[in-house]
Amino acid sequence: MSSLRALLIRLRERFIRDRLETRLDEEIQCHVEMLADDYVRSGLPREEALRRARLALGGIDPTKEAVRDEWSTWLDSLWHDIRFAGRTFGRDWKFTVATVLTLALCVGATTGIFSVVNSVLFRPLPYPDPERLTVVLSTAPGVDHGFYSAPGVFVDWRERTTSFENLSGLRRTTALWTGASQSQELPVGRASSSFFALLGLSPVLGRAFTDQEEKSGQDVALLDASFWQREFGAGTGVLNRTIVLDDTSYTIVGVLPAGVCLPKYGAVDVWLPLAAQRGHRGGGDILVAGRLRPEVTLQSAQAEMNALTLGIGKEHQEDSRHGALLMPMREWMIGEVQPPFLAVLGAVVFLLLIGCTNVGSLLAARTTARRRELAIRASLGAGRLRLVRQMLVECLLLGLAGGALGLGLALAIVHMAQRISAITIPRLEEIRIDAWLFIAAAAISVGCAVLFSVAPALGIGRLELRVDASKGQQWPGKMGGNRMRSALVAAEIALALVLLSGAGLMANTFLRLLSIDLGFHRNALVTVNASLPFNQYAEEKSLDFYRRLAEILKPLPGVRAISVSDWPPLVPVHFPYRLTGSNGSGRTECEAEARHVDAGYLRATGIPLLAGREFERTDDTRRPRPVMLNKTAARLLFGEANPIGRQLASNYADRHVMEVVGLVGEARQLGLTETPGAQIYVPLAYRFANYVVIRTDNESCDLTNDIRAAVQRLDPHLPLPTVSTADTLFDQEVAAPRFYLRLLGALGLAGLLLASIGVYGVLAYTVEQRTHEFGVRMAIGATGSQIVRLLLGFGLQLTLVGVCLGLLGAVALTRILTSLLYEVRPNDPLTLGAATIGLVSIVFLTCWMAAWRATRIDPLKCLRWE
Amino acid sequence: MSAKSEVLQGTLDLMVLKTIETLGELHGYGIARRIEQVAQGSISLNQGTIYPALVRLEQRGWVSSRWGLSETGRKARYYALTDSGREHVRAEADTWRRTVKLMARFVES
Repeated sequence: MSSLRALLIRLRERFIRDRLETRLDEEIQCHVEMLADDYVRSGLPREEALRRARLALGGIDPTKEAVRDEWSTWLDSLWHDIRFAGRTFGRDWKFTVATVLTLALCVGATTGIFSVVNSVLFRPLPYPDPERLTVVLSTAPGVDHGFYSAPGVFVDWRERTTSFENLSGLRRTTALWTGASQSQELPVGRASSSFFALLGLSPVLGRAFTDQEEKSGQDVALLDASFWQREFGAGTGVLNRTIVLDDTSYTIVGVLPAGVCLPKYGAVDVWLPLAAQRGHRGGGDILVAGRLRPEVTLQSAQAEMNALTLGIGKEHQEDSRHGALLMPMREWMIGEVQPPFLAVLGAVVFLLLIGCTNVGSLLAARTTARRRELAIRASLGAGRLRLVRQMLVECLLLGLAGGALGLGLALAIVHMAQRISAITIPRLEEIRIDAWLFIAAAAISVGCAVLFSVAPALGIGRLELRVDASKGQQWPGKMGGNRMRSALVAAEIALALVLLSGAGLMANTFLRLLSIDLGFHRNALVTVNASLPFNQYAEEKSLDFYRRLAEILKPLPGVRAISVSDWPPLVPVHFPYRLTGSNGSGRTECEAEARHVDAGYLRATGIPLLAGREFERTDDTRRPRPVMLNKTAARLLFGEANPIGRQLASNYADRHVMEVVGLVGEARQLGLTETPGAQIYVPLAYRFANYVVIRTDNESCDLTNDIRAAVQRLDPHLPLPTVSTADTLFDQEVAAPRFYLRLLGALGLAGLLLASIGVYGVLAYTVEQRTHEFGVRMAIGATGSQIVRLLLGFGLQLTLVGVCLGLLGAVALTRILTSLLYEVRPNDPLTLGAATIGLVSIVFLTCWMAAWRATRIDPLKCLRWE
Repeated sequence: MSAKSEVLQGTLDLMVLKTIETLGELHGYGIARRIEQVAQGSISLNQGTIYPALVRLEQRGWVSSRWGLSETGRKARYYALTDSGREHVRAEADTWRRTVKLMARFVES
């Protein structure tokens, strides 16, 4: 308090006193001069006139002193209010702490989360004319989202479209950089020459690609500024030097500003020309983005692209199934996070409402409890405005303390948001605290406080004064004399129930995710990828490499089973095979996801073999080619008949006839929540091998060093291999739901806590207000438990009203969570029931704690008090 | 006892307000001169005492002030009535008239 006082005094000296003193000086001086002028006009010499003027004024310094006295009464009474507020807060410290923390929580959480959501969802993209930036995706029947396009299609689009003034392609890849001391795998972007102009960016050094360089795919490179600083010390001599990527030398022609890229796409270290091949069709990995001409709408551009794509499909059979989907770039970037972010935003608004209600109800209770004090002060001559000012000063002090803590919390939230790894938040680098949001949140909370504390003070009319001052204690006619406060608490309970329901639905989803049967054993399953450069390792060579790696690792202690595959489980890479078989009644067809695996794969992953046999080394060259089917594929192709030994045909590449040698269980190859459909396992021969999969004895078995040594032994030029586990992949899959569960859970718990404080506050206030009545009741024979029952009844009434409203709200509002839920409906009765029971028990406990205090009333003391 | 009486406690504020109401926006010197004029020498006013009064009135929101130029070309602070000040003058003047009437009856009887 003393430091606050010192601060105020200094503020007063510096900002008010100086200005007031100057003004006073000038004003008095002016007065004296004007008076002296008059004396001079009446014939006095100047000197004498000034002397007389000072005399008539009553002396310059006494006048100034008198004025200063007036100032200090004004400032001192404000200072007095502040000190008085400080004293009452100190006396009522529980109330003070509860109010300040509630304010801080509400203002902080609202500002922090609103700032994040605002930056991500609502602010325009930081590029010129962002509303004209559009992404063009490919579509296919049966796929519910747009995907990246084939290079050939992109080239056709760009040549034929008239809707876009700039249509650029972008491909993300990796390359092995061998110039440095240790080979490194770098994220590389391949881009059209027009891409940088699309985002309104120009190189900080050198130049961008030319159209010619892009089309012919010349060996030139642009560096990202952060990579340039990290690896080249930001030297300008880097221009025209070469950088060796995947054994090709590229000439560095320029440096781009750090982190240039579409936020969702991720930054890269090096940019190379796109070099889209017209012949590359039937699917690809090019992101097409463009800028619409100013007069073209999204709809008309979509119509044009539909027609173009139809035409391209007629010319090229591979692209015939594909369509085009245009989407504003902002929408494409934020698409995935929009629903959950809006849900979180809603939750935080609810928390703010609960908090405001709480602060309002706490302050209203306090002001009412202080009626006696206010009445006495009023009867001693304090004007109503004076009392209101006192209340205002108290509110503003609470608001200041709460706001300061809240600002800290908001900064912490924004700080944390920028470090979240569980979910990919686009536009993270743009996130910052929004000052206006902070002011708005603080204003709402403090406004609430003012409303609920000043309004009752205004209500103290002169007529009531006598009554209030003498009695101090009121005799409310019935339970919960203050209807408004009861309504506020019921509303709080309702809001808290909605928050808890949301958190409950996330918890339910999370439990369901954890209990999914993956169809393989994820524990102690290690995957190794060695980032082989494609131009040195063709199909056979890659298989040979990984097989040799497996041979080296196999005898190591801890390795139970080992195999090689193209992709390990839980990696969403699609390999659809169209298969043709036959059952008793004729030809059958199905589309199956394929995985290419080596001998021992089932043993390594733990996918159960239901019939037949697993692959063997000799299967590489066997004809017809042996394959394994999962149950779904076998049923679709051969009905209920035993599939082992049956033959089938595929549309894929070599179109060999295949023979089923094994029947296996359903495994979630593509991802945790992807229900497995038809699956086929094909021998790995003649396909790129990418992974060694190892079943180890237990999870703590760490083979990383052995694996690194083995890779180095096989090829010393390779970078360090990526060693991961299926557990890690699984954790990544559940990271987003876990994150939202924690976030919504925290908000739900905060809501529950605040609502409990609100309920407790109202009941405790009722107990205090009716102490006298309870004393009388107990004196004439009421037992403690009867009093408790009375109060609990009141609390339960409030709770019931709140719960009914809350359930209605939950049913209406939890729909916003739909995209986050897995196998749980937004109105899941079990979850809503559990949330209700949880809330009611906590609130009941709080009521009981407040009611229990009533039984401690000593009837004698209470009666004597009056 | 001097023929000139001291300014009665609490009356100076009303005199200042009334002066501004009559003459419109005015500087401190003008207010002091006008009060002396109206009193026709019947009160001894230290002209300086109107400044604390002006500060008080400004704090209560009854007058507002700004810098301006005097008729002789000096920079002076001008005071004007606010709306609430005008209302206050009216109410206070009524109270004063009643008090005077009441006191007169006591003193005359």
